[in-house]
Amino acid sequence: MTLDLAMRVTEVMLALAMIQQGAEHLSGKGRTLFALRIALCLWLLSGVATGFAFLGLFATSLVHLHRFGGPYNGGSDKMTILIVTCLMVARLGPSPLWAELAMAYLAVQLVLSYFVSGYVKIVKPEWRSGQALVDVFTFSAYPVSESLRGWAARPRLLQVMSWGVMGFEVLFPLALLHPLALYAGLAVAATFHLVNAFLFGLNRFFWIWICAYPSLIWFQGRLEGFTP
Amino acid sequence: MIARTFSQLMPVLFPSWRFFMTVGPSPRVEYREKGGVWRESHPKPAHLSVGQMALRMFSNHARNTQLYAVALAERLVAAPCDHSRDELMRLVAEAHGSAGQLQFRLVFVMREGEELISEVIYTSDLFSAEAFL
Repeated sequence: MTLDLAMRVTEVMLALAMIQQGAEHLSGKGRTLFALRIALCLWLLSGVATGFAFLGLFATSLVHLHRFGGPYNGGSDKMTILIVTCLMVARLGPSPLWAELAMAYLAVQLVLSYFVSGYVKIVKPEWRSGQALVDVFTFSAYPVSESLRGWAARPRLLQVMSWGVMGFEVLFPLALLHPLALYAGLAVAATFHLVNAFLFGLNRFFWIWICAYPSLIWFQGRLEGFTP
Repeated sequence: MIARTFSQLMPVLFPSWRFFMTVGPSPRVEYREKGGVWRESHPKPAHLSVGQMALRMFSNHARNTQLYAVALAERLVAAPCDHSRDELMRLVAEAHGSAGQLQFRLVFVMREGEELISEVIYTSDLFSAEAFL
């Protein structure tokens, strides 16, 4: 995937993800901010001078952080603003090198988002035993319905799921070794986000994380270019 | 203002990605009308079908509001500030949906050995719902 294609695919996917985010707020107070963000996303979709649309989205992101006292939806807002910032730098930077560096930074952050998340779990005994996931279903705020709390009564299954998640997350960087491995890794990752969206209601994480995938596909190809 | 914005932006541009490192005490936001019975402000549905979960991929405002309330509760206990308190008042007033004197409290559920225990960590003053509707 070329850099230009990766940037264009990312900005189209980002625009659609942010329209979905903003649409959830259009019936409440503060809808002006979200209507403005949707308008800027439509500008992104047009493909015309998108760097300035990103400038507007970055400014509204600062207002968004101020309005909600930090991220509204945790990590999904962080990833949204990270992508907006990287693409803003890529589009408005003074040379093509800036675009490469910005997209590479996004790709590296995507890899870290899985690896760090897996590493901090795998060093914890409660995650290795499956107890942490039992607690998630027993009393955390995350299960999307009360009936899902019944999963806490299946500790063996949850231990297997814990190792599945941790294993996938810490091994994800190895996907960079081959294009096919990367596509397989990204398919597993997207499935992981989809399951989280269904079980825990984290729909925004699914849509925004997959927006960063084109940067990694380009980055993997760029790294291969360095191989003798 | 600039310093605050900067402090909010830096963890976004240089994220730690430490998702679910531990499963700590989990907050529930409860509220009541003056002198009334406490009830959960944003209760979960008893059951969701796979189809309903799939629909929530595209429109999930109620659930994301729940998650925002959880984040506010955690912020209010970790570092008390007017913003978190006022936002929780707004969410509670909107969940209540009509005028009245309201009060909210934060109940944290946590594991202590084999037992689950609940502890009220924060109780707000009475406030007028009209101010947020």
